[in-house]
Amino acid sequence: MTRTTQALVLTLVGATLVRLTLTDAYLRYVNAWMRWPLLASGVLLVAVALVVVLRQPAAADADHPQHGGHEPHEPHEGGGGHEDDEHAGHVSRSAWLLLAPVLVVFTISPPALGAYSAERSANELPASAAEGAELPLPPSEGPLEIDVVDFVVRVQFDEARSLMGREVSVVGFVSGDDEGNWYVTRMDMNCCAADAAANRIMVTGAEAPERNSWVRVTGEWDPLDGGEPTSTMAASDVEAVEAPRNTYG
Amino acid sequence: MTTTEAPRRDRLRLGQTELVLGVVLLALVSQRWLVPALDDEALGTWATMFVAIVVQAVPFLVFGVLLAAVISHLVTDRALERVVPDRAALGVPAAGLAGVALPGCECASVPVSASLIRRGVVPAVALTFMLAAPAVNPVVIVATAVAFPDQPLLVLARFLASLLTAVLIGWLWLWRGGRVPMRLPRGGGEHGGSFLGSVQHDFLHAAGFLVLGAALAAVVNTFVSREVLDSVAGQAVAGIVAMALFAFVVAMCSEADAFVAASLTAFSDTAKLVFMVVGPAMDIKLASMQAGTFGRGFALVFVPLVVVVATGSAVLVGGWLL
Repeated sequence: MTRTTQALVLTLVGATLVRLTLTDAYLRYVNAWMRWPLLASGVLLVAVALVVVLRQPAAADADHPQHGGHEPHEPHEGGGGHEDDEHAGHVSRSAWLLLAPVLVVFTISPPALGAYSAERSANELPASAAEGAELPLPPSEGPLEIDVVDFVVRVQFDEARSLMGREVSVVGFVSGDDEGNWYVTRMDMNCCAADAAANRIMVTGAEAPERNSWVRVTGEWDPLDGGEPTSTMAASDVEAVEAPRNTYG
Repeated sequence: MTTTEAPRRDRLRLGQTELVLGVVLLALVSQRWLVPALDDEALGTWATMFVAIVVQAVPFLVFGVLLAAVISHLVTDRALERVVPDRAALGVPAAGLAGVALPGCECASVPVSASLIRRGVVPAVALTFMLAAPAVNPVVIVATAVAFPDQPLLVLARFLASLLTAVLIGWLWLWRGGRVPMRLPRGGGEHGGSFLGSVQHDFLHAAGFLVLGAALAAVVNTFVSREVLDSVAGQAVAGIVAMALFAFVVAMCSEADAFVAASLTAFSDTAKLVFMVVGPAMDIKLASMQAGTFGRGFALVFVPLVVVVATGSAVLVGGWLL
């Protein structure tokens, strides 16, 4: 990789980060607080690349091969020329891989995680999620709006059963399972989207809307006769809504 | 990227930058057709996880590389020599702790320790520093804490197990290391160029391996069936062996590997710890660099020894703390 190409790759990575932050697309991948670190490192990468390119003499690329040409005239024993690359300011071939995320962002424009990953990883609650489950639900007129994760946590950990008999409404996307049930679902990320787990509530008493569409489900907890408490809602109303700005949480 | 390109590269070098620019612009222009054409649920999920790990890790990589460049320009080998005590048995833990203050990527720590040996530091002490510096420095600790926000014990376990690995290897080397052939490093080396040049070099180098690790972790999460994953991850021994092998093969930078470990949610905390302790200490890329710097005979002993000791330390500390 020539110096100029190195700088170009660096610029592309930096510019991609800046673009992701400015368009809010970064919220599909990482937590909201990553905004400033991402913006800063994107700008820094572009700046470093610019300075490196501007400082080198125009003919440097042609006169000083940065790669490849190095190997023939130093055939000492051992692993060969590859190690020399690490020392002399050359970049190993692995740097080419850095183009992959840039191209993936451009060509696939990866969406926020949806039904596909939710169906693979349902309700893997971390133990820490139990905190706050004992708080009583605030009184409300009409249905109380709560988070999907709040509902799931209360079903599993709330000894006082404060959900019982309350009318609540939750917002999430639609996912399904092999048996034809459907769920109102939110992905919950710990650190970034790659470690996200799904929280989902099975919905009964309403036709399944389109998979991956966003809905607000209003209804009551349906604890399913006697056995283990399950996250199930008997729906009284299902309405289509816009996807929220941050789809996780 | 493949070997067949090697002879052609000389002729193509002038057009390389334009070629890369062309491909990216083409992708940008054809976006409106490509995005619907590549709209597949599994592929989209893979891409989201892949981009998520890269995006989460890059700021830490940038910060780590910058800090390492600042420090290598401010702290000379000579200053380091003064910090390390004369008695080698005490020098080993001191070198391990010196790693706390000196962030640097794995690739930088090999030439640094080589230059320490050249300047007369006992090899066992220099090797301890080489193993500790990439694993226990503040950037790595903070990155690990961000990747595992609710598990401070895991962060502590990583620190202790990595330090234990470095010190154990150092003492082992003092005791038996004389029997292992070790080529004394040649002169020269270091990054030579300017401050920003070394930032650019270090970043590109480490980020390439980050991309590889992120892509593989996303494949495991997206395409490997849940049953297979749970059966490997569910067995304590199989999970630990799998994670140690994964760490060795993907050769990730220590500042980014915690995010990959956190994404492999099916595995136990101890298995994740093994991944984060083995990775910075030894992997394919370090093994090849060490074979080149210290000789093949050295690497044949050192590489398996470090993998075994690092795995053992992680299991021990994991069993105690997690």
